[in-house]
Amino acid sequence: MVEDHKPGLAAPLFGKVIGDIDPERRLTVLDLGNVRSGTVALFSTFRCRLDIANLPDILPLPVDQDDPDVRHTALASVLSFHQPEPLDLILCWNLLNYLERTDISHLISLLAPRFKPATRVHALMEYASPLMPATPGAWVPDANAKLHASQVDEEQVDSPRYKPKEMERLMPQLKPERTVLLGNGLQEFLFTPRPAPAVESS
Amino acid sequence: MSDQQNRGAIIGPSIQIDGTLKGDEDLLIQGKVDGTVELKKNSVTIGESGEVKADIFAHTVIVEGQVEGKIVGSEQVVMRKTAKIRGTLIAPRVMLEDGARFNGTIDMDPEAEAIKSAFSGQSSKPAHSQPSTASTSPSKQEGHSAAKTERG
Repeated sequence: MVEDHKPGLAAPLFGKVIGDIDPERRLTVLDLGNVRSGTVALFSTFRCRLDIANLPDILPLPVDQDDPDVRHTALASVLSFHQPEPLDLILCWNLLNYLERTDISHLISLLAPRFKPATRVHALMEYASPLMPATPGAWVPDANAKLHASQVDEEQVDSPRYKPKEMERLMPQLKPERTVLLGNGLQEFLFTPRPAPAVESS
Repeated sequence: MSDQQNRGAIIGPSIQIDGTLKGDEDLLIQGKVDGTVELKKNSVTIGESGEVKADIFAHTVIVEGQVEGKIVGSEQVVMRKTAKIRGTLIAPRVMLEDGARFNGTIDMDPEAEAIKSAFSGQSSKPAHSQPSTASTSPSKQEGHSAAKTERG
């Protein structure tokens, strides 16, 4: 594992998310990753509730030929520990590329009951490079909302390189607000919930 | 040795307490506590060997060991790098050292209902602790001194 000592990565969509926060309003954030000092410090400047899911702790998801639901059960377990308060922001940094396609869809379906119209999902994914670290590292924000890589695995594996259109298909509850290809090859996504289809009256 | 270990009460590593702990001085827990810890005007430190399964209400809570339950700090909660916490942490200011393990929810909203209800009627100013020259094990305390243990 190596630490990143470079200047922070400017992630414009994350910077916009932080800049848009109303400091007077209570904010509920779910970080699907592990708890990091920078995340706590950044959100402690707001009236914030921060749920920590520790998704990396269960990756790679278990495989059991006799129990095809074991992966979904594992995903549900990391989300079962939080009160079902509607979420303003979900942080999903460098995690989706460690999930199979069906796991991504199941994860979002588990989160969907906590969506509200203004919920935003901010995701970072390896995209440009055909390789990615064998295990998910962490991205840690600083006070300026720049991101720093932490605990990067030097061993590499093939990256699934999910394309934005494929992400839309896997997460039908969400629509992309914007995507940005960052200088280091990461794709930055900002999703919002799709409006519920209007009910036709006869 | 931290400053905490030189003042207030200490629950030593061999001590296990089941029930409610209340008091008016700072407390260092190096042993095992199951139940509730209420030192609303003082600081509670869960030392590296401390194992607490309890709801903790204190002015300041510093965690170096293991806690399972709800931690409510009217002023601040600090998670040291050796901390392992599972539960809900509620305080207007939270400080975390990388390396700490946390599973649950951190509520840093000073308007959070849990803080208001737990500390209603109390000043948010730091309370003065009553330093003692010697650390006192709860098992040796008498009368009105320090940490009071109510068996549940």
